[in-house]
Amino acid sequence: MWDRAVEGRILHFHLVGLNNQNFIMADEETGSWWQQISGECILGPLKGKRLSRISSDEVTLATWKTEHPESTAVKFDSRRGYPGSDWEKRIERVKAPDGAPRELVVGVELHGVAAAYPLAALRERNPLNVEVGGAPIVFVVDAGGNSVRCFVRRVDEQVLEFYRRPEDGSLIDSATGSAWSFAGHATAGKLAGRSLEPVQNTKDYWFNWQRYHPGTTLRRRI
Amino acid sequence: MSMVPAGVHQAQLANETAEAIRKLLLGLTLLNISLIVAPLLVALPPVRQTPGMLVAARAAGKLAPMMSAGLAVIVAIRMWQAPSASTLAILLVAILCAVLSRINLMEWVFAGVRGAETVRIGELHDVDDTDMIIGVVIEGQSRAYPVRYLAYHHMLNDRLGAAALLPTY
Repeated sequence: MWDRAVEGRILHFHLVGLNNQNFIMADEETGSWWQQISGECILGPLKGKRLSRISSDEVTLATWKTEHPESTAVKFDSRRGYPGSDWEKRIERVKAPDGAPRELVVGVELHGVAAAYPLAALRERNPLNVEVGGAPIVFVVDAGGNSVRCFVRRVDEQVLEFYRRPEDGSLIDSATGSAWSFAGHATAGKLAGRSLEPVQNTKDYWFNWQRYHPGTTLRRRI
Repeated sequence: MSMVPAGVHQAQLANETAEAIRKLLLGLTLLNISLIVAPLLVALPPVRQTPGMLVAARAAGKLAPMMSAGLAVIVAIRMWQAPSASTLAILLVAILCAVLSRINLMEWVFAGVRGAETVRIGELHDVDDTDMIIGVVIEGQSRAYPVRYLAYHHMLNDRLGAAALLPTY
């Protein structure tokens, strides 16, 4: 999710091309070309500028509805034929540009360090306590297995480790035994009422993430 | 010593000039077509685009509308001065180029969208509860963009409160 304001001016974007399977967008105000995945202006009067990222969340409709009952939502245009709910599975059968299978990963960038984790691994090791760029973070996957969230696992100066309580699958921190929601709020225990700081994470295909974050290591062994 | 009448020379010269003009217009038309087609070829998904190709595609895209309009006017004037079937054919192609150069074919192919309607989340029946959405919160206002919507349109110029948003997928 990008902020369309650049140096005090609001830009309007449209698609103009592809660059190695990622879209190029042009702004109507200056005609500059921007790379969709990086938000970087690659050609034209604004070359070198970057769009600012607005933090967003990729979760199931059910999760969002529960957490934001007052939310608005963008409606389908009834004249268009949108892809069905199984569209991602169909895309997965198309090979990546290097001929390898498309692998969905979740990428984060912290303090200049980019790291990516296979989505399949995150589902298996849920929650996953790791460090990226020196920051202690935790990945949490919801019950449906598709929504991933990432948080800085630190409250005040205390670094927390999370696990699932075997009895009911609740997310618990081992330092205080508090229970945490998928939204990163402590709902019971000593830390009740506290929240974890969310970390922007992007679900993407590995080939695509890698191209725009060339220094990334894919952390398969976790 | 045979003398060729001056009128024959003139007629031959006029013929040669007409032929030269026709070739010039044809050449410019082909160049014009390539300005329109090149960016499309560069944008094909299997192409491994290089920075140079992107620079050329952008330059061609900027040049094509001006060149197409200019060419159509020149060919129209020629058609008016010296009507012929071949000039008419070139004129039609030039007009077609002028129209095509003003249409963003990429947007057409990838279903670009200019605006969207919003509803309260409880009234959203386009997607299932298990479908993914991209959610954003700005100063207490929240909005959900169904991933199936963004996967189809790829992006949306939107506003939420004071913020100008660009959800992409």
